[in-house]
Amino acid sequence: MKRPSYLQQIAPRAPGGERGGLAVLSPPRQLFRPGAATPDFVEIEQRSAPPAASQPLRSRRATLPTANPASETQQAVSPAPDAAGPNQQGAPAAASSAPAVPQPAPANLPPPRRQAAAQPTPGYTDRRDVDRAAADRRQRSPEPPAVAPAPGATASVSRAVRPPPMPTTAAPLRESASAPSAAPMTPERPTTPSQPSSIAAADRDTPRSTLATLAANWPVSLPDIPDARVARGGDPEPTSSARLAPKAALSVIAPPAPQPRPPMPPSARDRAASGLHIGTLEVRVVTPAAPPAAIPRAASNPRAGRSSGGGRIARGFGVFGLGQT
Amino acid sequence: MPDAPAVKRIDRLLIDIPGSTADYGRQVALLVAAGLANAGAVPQAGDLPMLRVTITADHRSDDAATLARRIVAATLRDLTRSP
Repeated sequence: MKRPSYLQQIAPRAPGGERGGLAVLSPPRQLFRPGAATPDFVEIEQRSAPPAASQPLRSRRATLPTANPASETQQAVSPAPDAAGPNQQGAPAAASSAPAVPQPAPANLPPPRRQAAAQPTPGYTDRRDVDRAAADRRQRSPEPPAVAPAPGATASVSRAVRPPPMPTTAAPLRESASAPSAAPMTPERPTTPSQPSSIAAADRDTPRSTLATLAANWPVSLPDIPDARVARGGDPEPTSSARLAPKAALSVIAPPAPQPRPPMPPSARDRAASGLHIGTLEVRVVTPAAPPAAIPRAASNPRAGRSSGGGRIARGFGVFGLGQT
Repeated sequence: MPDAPAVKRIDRLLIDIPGSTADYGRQVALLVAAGLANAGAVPQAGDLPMLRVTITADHRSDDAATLARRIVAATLRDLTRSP
């Protein structure tokens, strides 16, 4: 009787035995045998199954940074990327078997990530932990999340915040009697009768957190800004009074009333009524004019007398001297 | 008992005496003021912003008192004629 060869004793019915020695030398495939702790993780996964559980692992990991409570539950269950490696497995048998299977995992077998659900080592800080802490901070703080939420979530929030449309006449009453945050944020946009109150309320609620942040970081003191009281949640004031506040301050700063004029001196008429008033008395003394000098009669000139024939010189001769000849 | 004399007020007095000194003119002015203050024929009330009086005198022959009396007489005449 011929004994089978050594190779045939090791793998008598290997799948690729007819192809030669190489196929016979390959180790037999080992089926996945889940460890003792695997069913516990499976149960946890089934309890906290998110609506997107049917999505692939990568897509679910992409949604982890969002501030979603479901994602937190998934983070607690899902393993760390580094911890999912076969080198850090707590169960060596499962680690050596599951990743080595090249064919797609059957439905009854848990995915490899479930096997890597072991708790991280103490003192180990994962990136997801940091993201989770940031998400918690965002949920506690009133600031809007850095990552824009899904469109559906935004619509639902806006629908919940916006009050139903109210009659226009009720808008001022609502502003005066409602919470301090109901005051308008921008004084240049007063609530006119033409604007619906629902839009005004939505506008008021939307930038409040942003203005609160700006007011907190604003270098100027808040009391200096009239509208800052709204951001701080102080006393609600109507827009008209907020506008009149600077005017009142201006009235305080305005210069004081002009001092009373000094008593006016009595007018000239009053003084004249009581006596005689002469503004300017100008006296001019004129010396008496010298008596007009007598026109010296021309000395009788015998020669002139002769020329005139009458003894008197004609007027023209005396002036022009024609009679000298 | 005579009534209280009316107030007479002259803001400015100009005396132009050609050929005379300032001291003589100052003396004449004081005498004119005194003569107007003591004059009894002055109107009780009136307001004259400007009053010009021109006299003809020989300051070389007349003394200051005489010249002053002539000036007061001429001023009173003009005051009575002024409305």
